[in-house]
Amino acid sequence: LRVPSHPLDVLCQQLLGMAAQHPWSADEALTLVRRAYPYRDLSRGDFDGCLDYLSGRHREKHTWLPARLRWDDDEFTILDARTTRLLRRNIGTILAEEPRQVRLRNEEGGTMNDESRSSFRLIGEVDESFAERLQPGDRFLLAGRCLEFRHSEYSTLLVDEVIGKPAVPRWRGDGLPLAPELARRLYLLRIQAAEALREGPSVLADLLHRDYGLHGQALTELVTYFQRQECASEIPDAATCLVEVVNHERGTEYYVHTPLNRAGNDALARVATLRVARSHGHTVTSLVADLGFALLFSKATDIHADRWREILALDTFEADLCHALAESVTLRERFQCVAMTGLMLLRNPLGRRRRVGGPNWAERRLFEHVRAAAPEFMLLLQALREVREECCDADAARAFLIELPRLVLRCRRLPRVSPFVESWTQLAAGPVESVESPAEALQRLHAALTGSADIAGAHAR
Amino acid sequence: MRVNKDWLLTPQRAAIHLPTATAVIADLHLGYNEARRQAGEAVPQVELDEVIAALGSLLAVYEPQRLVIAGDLFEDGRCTTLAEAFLDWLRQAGPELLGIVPGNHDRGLKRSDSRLPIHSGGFSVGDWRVVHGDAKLPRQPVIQGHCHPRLRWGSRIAAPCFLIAARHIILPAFSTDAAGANVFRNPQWRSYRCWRHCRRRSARFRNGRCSPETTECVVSSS
Repeated sequence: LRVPSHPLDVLCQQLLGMAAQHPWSADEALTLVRRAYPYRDLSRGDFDGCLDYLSGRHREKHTWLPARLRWDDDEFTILDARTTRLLRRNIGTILAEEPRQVRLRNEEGGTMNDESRSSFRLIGEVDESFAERLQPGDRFLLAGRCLEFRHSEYSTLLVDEVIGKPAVPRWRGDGLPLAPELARRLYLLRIQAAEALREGPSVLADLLHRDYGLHGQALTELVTYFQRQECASEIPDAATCLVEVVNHERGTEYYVHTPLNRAGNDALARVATLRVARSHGHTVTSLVADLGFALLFSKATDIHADRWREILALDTFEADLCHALAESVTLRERFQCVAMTGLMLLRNPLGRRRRVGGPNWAERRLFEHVRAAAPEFMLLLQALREVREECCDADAARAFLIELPRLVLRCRRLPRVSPFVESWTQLAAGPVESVESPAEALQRLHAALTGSADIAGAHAR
Repeated sequence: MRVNKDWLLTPQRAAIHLPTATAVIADLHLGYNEARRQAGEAVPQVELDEVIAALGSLLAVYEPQRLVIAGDLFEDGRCTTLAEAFLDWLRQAGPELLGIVPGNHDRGLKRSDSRLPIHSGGFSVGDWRVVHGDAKLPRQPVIQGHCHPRLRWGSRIAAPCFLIAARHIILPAFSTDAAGANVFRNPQWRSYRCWRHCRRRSARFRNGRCSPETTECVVSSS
């Protein structure tokens, strides 16, 4: 567990709450705020940035946002009763997705438009993430009814009531990634296991029993697991960085084994995808996990060990990581969360909710508007800081890259993914670098839909 | 991309009726940020020029003489200053604004500015009827907005698109603020055809596969 360091979005809510109570001078408020442990090191600049934002002021002192505070001489207080009402309706830092309405179709079926919406009976709501996974024909239980999903219109799920068994709802949780030290210890255990295995499976079994208290089926499974990895590929030792290469008809996949947890591998994958796209002109997707990351190419490629050293070079690592993060979906998603907590966006706005922009409007549009108008805006910087602290461990990645020149970098071609890769934990889609134009992407979509490999020339027109 | 004999579909999300040189666009949702500000959100204002930059590009490239708006010109029909600014912009840009068919977001539009050529029951362009699409459709061939069709495939491809049938064209939302509704694998649009910019290939979505005999959904690359 980690106490977040001076979260500025939360501070904005706090300052508004304080301003609703009585007028404050900036100095008084800063003194009080710094008494809270997470804000003990809060800089005056960050604090003033929050007050500027809440006062609608740009860093260059012109007005660019609606103000929530008003100033009388050197004291600030909440702007008006309407702002107090907004604060009461939206205070809190637990962010929930906007639910999706579920409506029962009428007997004639058909579609829903604004006129006929009332004839589709509202029977409840489900989470956005649950709704996203539903395919036509899927059944689920809501309000004591077994419902079959037909399709969605205007963010509403249209369903039929059916007789039968609904599927048991399931949600995929985001488990916590390994701590950096635990990842390193697991990597060392593998090395230790490889050394023991060279003297025979029984020696490895003795080691696992003696040092880790394993026995029975768990012991057998683990010994077999290490043996399978040695047979299929190798267990990298302390002096080796292993890259496993698997060729498919749909392209080439590279699996890089590291002693890092997911956050460390995330930083490596971001820089690697950026560099590969930049220098090779390939569109590349990635996977990140504890103890490794993968680069996936949609066409056959041959990246040898020397080229890998260039891709994983320490030079310009920080600059490349900054560039990759600035353009990342992760940053946009985090900005939306920060903007919500910082009350830039409201969960419960006044009047009708604006649905045209959809649930990710802030990621797509607000992010662009804010970045263009105020690249140093404190909620943008807060989002970037959170991404760097929580998703992307640049320090661990840098330490690995410093060590890498001393390691043997071995590329090993395999017919299929190795047991180590099969057992990667906390596997998640990583960054993507695309060098294709929108038209080329659509070509690819068409090829996937029609199963046609012959798309060359289709773009000519 | 030319469809249904007389219509040219453009990457700027407009359909141009070639015999009358009339461009039809829908769902501009001008004043979207302002509406969010009115609801209490602290979002920046966006200049009108920026919002309708694609319209400027449409006029420069295809030079339509006339313009019809198939509804939802504004996010909130009560913004009078925005209506005035839009009219000024059009006056300078050149095309004649033939008609505005009010959409469900344009309630109150008529009251706000009488200089706007409002046609509540729809507007005819050649044999086609321009409507917004939030009410029962007329019998004649229809071009409409309202649905904001978007083709989304996986997490990496999401593009506004046109949906086309023999007597029916659905325009993508002109507004880049609009999220759009995914038409991929949506049975509602199964009888509609799908075109892309490269005309050679066409496909109908069925269980994620395409059969080449149908198609018509032009995917905008802008």
